Amino acid sequence: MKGLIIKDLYNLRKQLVLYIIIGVIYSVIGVVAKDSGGSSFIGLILIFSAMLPITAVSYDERAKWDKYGLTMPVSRRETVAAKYLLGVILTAAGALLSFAVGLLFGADMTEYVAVVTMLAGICFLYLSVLLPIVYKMGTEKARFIMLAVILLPFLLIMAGALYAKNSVIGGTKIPENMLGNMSGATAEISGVQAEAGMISELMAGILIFTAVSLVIMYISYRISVSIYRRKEF
Amino acid sequence: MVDFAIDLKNVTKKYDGFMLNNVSFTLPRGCIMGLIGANGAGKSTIIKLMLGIIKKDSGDIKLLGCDSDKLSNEVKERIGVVFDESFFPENMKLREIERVLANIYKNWDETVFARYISEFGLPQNVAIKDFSRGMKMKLSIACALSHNAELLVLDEATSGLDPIVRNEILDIFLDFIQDENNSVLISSHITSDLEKVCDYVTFIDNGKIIMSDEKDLILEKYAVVKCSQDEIDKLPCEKTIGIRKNKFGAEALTETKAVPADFIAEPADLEKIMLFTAKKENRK
Repeated sequence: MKGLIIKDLYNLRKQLVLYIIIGVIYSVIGVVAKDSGGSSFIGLILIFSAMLPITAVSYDERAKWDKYGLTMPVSRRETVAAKYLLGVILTAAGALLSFAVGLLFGADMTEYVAVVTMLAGICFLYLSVLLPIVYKMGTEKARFIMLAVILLPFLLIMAGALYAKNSVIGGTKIPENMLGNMSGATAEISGVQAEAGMISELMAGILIFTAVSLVIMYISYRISVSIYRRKEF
Repeated sequence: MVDFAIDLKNVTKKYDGFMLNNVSFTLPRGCIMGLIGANGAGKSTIIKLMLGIIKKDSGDIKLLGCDSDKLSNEVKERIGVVFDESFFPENMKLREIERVLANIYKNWDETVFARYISEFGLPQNVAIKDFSRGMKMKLSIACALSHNAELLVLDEATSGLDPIVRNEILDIFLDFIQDENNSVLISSHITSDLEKVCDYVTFIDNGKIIMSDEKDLILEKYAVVKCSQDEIDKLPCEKTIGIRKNKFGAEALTETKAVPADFIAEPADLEKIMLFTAKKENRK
């Protein structure tokens, strides 16, 4: 399985360089600008990292790797697991990159951790929805569905941000407001200065959300394995 | 009991417009078997079924004694496979491919791989997409031979190569089965290659096994008779595999024993047998 992940990383090498460059630029803008924009920039690199396993599947399709790979000492289950693991590794790398930039620029780390943790959860949810679809239909046919799945939360976030901006009275912190909208669980923070207690409550909600997304990812993995087991090459 | 490297019993696989029908054959360990058939005869389907890449409808396939539907990683360690194309990611270089394979195969042997790479003259710093077809095939063969496999399965692996390289590679296979534990299955339509190295030959046409036996027995059993168009009808019908007529006369593939004394017969080669058996199917 390690060999498969190495293969994917080699395949994704160009994207990874781009990913690091974009990650750094966006994080810098986010931290320097010190507004809610920062969070959505981090979001972008994390979502980018969730996309890469799908790109890896499309590389495999193009090279017809699976037909060859399955003759090697790697089971079908491991072949699928490698893609999920790749997603987790890349998301973790994206999160670390965000933290590094955040630290470097002395951003508010509590806020940072909250946002990154939640976005990691969103990444896991993305992968959970996308990978079974991609295994079932192939990357070519799944493209439109993928686009919809990716755009939908962005539109929601944007709508949320817009709503937040409109309800802002001078001096209100927007990030907490955004977080509230994004996590859904604590959506009802409206224009009030967030207290420390509230943040920890928020953090707990986010942790639960991310934990749940990991569970969903495991279920998704089992579904993908059962789809992949039936495939012929 | 003979220990079989490959053992197929009544294997059936149905596609739209093609059916692999009740295929059975065995390959004893220590031997090379040639799988001969025209394009589309079912050679690749058999190989994919054996390796569990596609699933059979019915029948029984054993590879190194294990059910091919659930080949464990330990068994797959002992199998080397070469397909008619290389399926390596196009952007990778040799070194990178080796790194991937060394992390997949427990028994990956760097020294052996390095030896084949230099023997085949493959460049280190060129992406696979810039390899010629021959170079890609050589790379696949080098990979299949570099993890201590006991069974090599080659699907049209020599078809893109020039005669000199083909000969080199056939010699490597002959070398490989010097170890009596090792076996090779090689599918091809280049019958001369198979004639050179195979111990066993299996003819397949239109999804059915026409014959499967020791090469020498097959070659002894059949003869090509040349005569006039009138005379050809005197050949015993049930012993005649196929007949070809042209304006100069006629040719028939028939069992050597059944050739009447006054007929001119010459030993059949694998190519003749392939031509006549395939033709027989087409006539129906």
